[in-house]
Amino acid sequence: MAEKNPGKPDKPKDKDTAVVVVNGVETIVGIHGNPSLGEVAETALEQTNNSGQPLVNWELRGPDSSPIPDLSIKVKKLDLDADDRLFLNLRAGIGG
Amino acid sequence: MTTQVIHPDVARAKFDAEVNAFTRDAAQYRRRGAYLVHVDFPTVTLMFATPKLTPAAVLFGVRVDYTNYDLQPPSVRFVHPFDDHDLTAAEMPTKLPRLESRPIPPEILQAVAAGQIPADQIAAENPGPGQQPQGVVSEMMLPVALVQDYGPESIPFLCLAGTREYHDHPGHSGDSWELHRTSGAGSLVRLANIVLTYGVEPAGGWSVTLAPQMTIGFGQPPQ
Repeated sequence: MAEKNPGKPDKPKDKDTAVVVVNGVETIVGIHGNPSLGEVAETALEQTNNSGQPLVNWELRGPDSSPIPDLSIKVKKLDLDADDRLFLNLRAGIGG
Repeated sequence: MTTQVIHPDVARAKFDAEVNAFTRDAAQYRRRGAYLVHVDFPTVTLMFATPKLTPAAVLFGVRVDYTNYDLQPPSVRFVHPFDDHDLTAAEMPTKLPRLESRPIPPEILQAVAAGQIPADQIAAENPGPGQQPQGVVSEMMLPVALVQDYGPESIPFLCLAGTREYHDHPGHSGDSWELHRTSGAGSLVRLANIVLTYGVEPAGGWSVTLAPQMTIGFGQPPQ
């Protein structure tokens, strides 16, 4: 096994994970390859035990708070920084 | 007033979790127009302003009461931003309208039949599952208010699954809180997100109504 160069910092891991805040609950999703945002969101829901509502009932917002309606976009296209977070909130559903 | 029936330590821990989830991302919510102004267990008050307007407007506050949460859903009230009184329906600057696909109202069908509204226009503006194969449209997108009331002087309420007012309403007895309790439907960040989405973000600018009046300008009366 090659020794680590003590003068060189570890390669940043920021591209290997995405932080998703699901209704206020933070979860870290492992990124393998280049999944779609829909797949990342599904994993985040699963990790936070939010299995009762389908993905269509959730709204995804990016780090700048703007909605991301197209969940087929690949996660790496967002070029997330290590401290960036995605926000997944339950939509209004039936009201009135 | 609702009596606290669950253990105070449990209630306090759940309340703190809701407040902490909001404050952790307070900067993000503030950019969108929501900020926390008062925390006094079991209630928390958020203020909602319009960051897109210049000058900005403070629309209202929202007081969320987490008594017995999450055995019971939270109660949501719209309050005055400066003196904290419960807003009446007449005082609400918005009803949080949301576009939903609904059956076409009879009056619009009559207007189409009378030729006052072109049928093509309805079909073009309302594509989707409501459109039938023959090109006949049975549903259209209509604004439905998430804030409901019983008259201008009544206290309005957020008619939304996840709020006490919704689940206590006899019309929603088939949609109990237990069906939503574990989905985070009553969480503070979710409620803030709903109010921001339907109450704040649609505010795109100031609307000014001018009502000019014309009168004849007579000069100095002749002698």
